[in-house]
Amino acid sequence: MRLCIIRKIVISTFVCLFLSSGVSRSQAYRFRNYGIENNLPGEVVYTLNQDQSGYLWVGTAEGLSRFDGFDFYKVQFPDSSAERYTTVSHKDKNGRLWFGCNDGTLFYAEGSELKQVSLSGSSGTGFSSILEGPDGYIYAMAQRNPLFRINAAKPAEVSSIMQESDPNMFAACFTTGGNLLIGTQENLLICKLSGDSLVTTEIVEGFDYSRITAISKLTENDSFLIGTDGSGIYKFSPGDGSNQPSRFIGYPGLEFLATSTQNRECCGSGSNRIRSPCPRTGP
Amino acid sequence: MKVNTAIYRFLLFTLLTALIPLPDLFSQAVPGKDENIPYLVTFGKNGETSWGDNDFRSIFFFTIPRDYNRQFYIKVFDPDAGGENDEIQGLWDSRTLFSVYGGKGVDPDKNIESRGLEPDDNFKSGNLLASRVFGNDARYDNGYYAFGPFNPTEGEFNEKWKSYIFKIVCEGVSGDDGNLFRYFLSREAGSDLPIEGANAFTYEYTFRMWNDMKSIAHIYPYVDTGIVSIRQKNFDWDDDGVILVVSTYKQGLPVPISNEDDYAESTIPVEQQEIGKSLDFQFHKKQSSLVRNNNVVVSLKNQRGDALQFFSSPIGGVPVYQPLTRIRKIQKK
Repeated sequence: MRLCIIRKIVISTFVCLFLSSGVSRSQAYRFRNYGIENNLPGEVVYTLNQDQSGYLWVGTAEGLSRFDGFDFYKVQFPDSSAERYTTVSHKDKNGRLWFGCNDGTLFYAEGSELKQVSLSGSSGTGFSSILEGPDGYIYAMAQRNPLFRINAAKPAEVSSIMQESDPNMFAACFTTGGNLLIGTQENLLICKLSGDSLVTTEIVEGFDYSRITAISKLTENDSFLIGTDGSGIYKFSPGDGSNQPSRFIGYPGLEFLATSTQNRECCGSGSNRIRSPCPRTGP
Repeated sequence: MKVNTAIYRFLLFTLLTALIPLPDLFSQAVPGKDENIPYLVTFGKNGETSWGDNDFRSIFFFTIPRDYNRQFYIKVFDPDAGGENDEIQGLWDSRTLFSVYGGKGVDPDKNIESRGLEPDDNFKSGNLLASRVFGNDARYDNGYYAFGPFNPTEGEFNEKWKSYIFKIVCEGVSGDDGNLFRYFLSREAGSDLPIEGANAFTYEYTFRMWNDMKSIAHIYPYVDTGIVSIRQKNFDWDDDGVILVVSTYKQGLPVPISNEDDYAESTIPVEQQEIGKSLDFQFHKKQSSLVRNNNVVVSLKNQRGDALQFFSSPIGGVPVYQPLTRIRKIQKK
């Protein structure tokens, strides 16, 4: 009889634990892993973007593919270059996808195909950022000069913009006032577009000599999250007068910054972690 | 019974032999383990060449075999200039920039300037994959900083070596202290896990000798086909003993040695038996008195003026002198 009571207690405990684990699991995000066993071309993913039809475009080290929710379909570049891979992508306000590659070539999607943008004077360095300017043009930035300005409606219309000091450029973001923030090897440049040149008006330092890998605009007034390679995340507000970035505590490595559909900032680190939201700045 | 013992011994020997790793397959430490070199050295650009660095930069290339398709790291041991291991000149005021490059323009076979041997060479070609400046920083003193992860295809493919090439450049961007460091290619950031078949090479070797008179440092240039002679150049050896060239054909050919802040050059003939193998440049320290903290620079060119590569893991293994033996039949009278 005593044994029976103990058994009932043990069973009840296990049932409670099982039910409570089910409740907590229902509140967590669910992840499903896709890899080369699911026909993903490569294991290293550089960029992801979703087109207007709902297809997910995945840029891997071994090529670009489209995912329809079930299978991955490899997308061929028009000239079938074997060594090329996509480093960045961007969806413009009209829903068109743009892809920048490691060899300094640029493409846009038309249906399920890629069309190449003709770029003259390319340095051949990989694209590090594609963004949309306040003027509606697409700006494609490679590591080195020039910066390309493309008419989104007529992609054949391309102009080159030279940055006077030709630094290595890794991330970019427009401010509300139309200035361009450029993340370099060790500092942040505040640049002004002036015709076919990009003039540096200010240099923001204080990133502990770390490469700036990502810049993301916060929803609040002209403030930015700055991600670095090895020195964590900073908040930068050019309008506050101090022009000094403030560092968040912890989080040494950062690969990307993004804004979720709920306008919450997500930060991805090189150690397979995604964090949201970002923490408060340190003292 | 005796037969059983012999079989056991044979099996044990076979097992032990199988467990010993081959040096050219498993080592990507720079300097390599066969080289017996404690550190690479780069001084801040305000330093003096008489301290043993003629250009205040060091360029190494890593080769990742095509069949390796996982991510990897390039780790730098003691990247800061300060604390232990490094060479202070007054105050710790040096900053050292490490930059990792991949992509088009990196392969030194296709782009000679990528070797950075001439002062005006554009050796920063390719995509900058990672970089960081180090000063006197206790966080990295006597410890590692890992660049990466890198994907092998971010390098530039070299058909001859069937490998992707990456380049790491170390520059002394300010100050005058000597930064002593080592590299290691690893599959993981937190541990030293070599990549099978990977290797590292440079065209100009700037390194520190051990403060030990009995120690012999080795560097291993690869002799490619078509080479008939080599022009060797050593800098700032401080008259610290002798430099010998050993190969399967050469027992120990002495070469002229440099003194303080000067160069010594000479031409070394290459024999047919040495083609497609490595030479062993041996650095024997002076036995009469200890020369401390000796840094030296060595480079080689062939008869056409093309620079030779020093591999951290010698191609074909460490060369061993093989004396020519002839068997002469004695005629019976």
